[in-house]
Amino acid sequence: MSLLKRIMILCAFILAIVGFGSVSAANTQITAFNWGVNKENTLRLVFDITQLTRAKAELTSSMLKVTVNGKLKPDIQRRYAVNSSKVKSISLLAQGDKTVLILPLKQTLKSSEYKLFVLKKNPGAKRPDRVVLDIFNGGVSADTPNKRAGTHICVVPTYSVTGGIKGKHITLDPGHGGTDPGTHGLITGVTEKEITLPVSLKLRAILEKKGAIVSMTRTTDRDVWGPEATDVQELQARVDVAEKNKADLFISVHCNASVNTDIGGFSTYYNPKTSYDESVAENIQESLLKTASLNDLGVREANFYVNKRCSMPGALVELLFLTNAREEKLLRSNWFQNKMAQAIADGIEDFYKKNGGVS
Amino acid sequence: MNSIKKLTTALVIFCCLALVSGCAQNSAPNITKPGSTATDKNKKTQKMVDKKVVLYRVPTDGSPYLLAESKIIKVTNNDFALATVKALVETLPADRKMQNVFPKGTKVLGVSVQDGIATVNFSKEFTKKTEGEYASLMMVNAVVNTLTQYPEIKKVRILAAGQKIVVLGQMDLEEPLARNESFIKKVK
Repeated sequence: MSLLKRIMILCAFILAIVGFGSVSAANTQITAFNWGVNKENTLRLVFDITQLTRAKAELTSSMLKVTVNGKLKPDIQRRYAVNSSKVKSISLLAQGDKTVLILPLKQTLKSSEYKLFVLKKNPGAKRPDRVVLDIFNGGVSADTPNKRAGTHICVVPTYSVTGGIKGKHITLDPGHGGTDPGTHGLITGVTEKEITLPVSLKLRAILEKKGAIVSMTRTTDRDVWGPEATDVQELQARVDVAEKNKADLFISVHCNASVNTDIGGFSTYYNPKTSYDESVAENIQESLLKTASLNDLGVREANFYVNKRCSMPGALVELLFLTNAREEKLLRSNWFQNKMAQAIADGIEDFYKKNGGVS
Repeated sequence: MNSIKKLTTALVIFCCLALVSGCAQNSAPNITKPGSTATDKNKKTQKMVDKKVVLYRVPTDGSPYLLAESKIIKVTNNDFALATVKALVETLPADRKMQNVFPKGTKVLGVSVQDGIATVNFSKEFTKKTEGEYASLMMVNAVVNTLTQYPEIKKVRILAAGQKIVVLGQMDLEEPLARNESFIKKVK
């Protein structure tokens, strides 16, 4: 009898785990991972997830292991050094559709000293569903107070997304330039670099009026690294401008081209390296679509070098198609350049407004 | 009596583990470990079979979404990834709404799959400059989305003549790329 029971329990246990993995983890993705210490000295680790999912914690004397049924986005950093009284380091492991968080412990942790829970999404604050692990008194010792005390979650990077557009450091990158003209219009032969620069300069003026501190990768028709640069050097030089200026936001301005001259419209690209990039792109795209009756080619994920390599959130805007006759005309006109610049600036302001109340 | 109990428990655990690992193998039938499989199975893996695959093609009208072409290609279990990329790069789509935008002369030199990452080695023609960002953006996403239809491929690394490509146009290809659904037109 007891043998039968034992076999049944064992089988049920194994089946439960298998069933678990194949059902609920299928489509969930972990889009970001942030951690920090709040003013109560709680070490909080947060997974942004695309939909509510299961997570479980396993505690041994030397390790706390949390398994989240969601696929880890490849761009998320896997290892973090942490100054904590409880935890030696923070590591993430991707295991198929699941993600395992491993926290080697400095001292034995009681089960009452941590809490694993789920926070539902908050559309108002632009927060997705989250899986949260709190380790109480897991922060640094009291003599090194947290600089951002009072914040809900301290994100490790230096950029800021809260408190509105005023005082934000924004780097603008007029695409191409110098020896690299980019694409060109089919009617007048106007080049991409001749459009991206004036639009970016107009955008700078509007952003400065809104209170932002703007830096530019170029303000004249030139290569940013130099005429002899490799593609990597040229693009990295643009990233470097943003990093040197400790930018909170990086916006690259381009124009599109297609073999089909009927194709036209706006598209905004982002790389989801932070949890804000998509929202930046969405706000800009939404605002651009208000300029005129033009095609919406959508907000799209791409692995553009400048977006991927910058540490702060950002987007790459593809302003219309130079290969489309109507759009070439719009792109060349001073009033529509102003309109697009105003729209991008408004989109950026919207992004900061939506992040306003949350740290 | 007690030792019999223990033995039975051990047996049950063993059976369950065998069951679980069996399941894992079933879900990835194309990964064969040379040396560890039976000889008759090895013979089977070398056999050419017809396989229905999806090739993501670039639309002729220049619209920004890839189009899915269904095609039956001949593969062996060992070269399914290579055969699929070759079909994508070295054949023309049947439908005139689709086109092949790989630069002239681009060849697939090899494809290997390890730890969920497919490494595709193109000939040097792959990095030829194209007009505007469209062709290279679509072409790279076509390769990545075509290969990631296989459950054993999660990411794709692209090489040219055996060398890493850091930048292609505006794109960063240094790290392996994951599937990008935003380039696939949703069927309404």
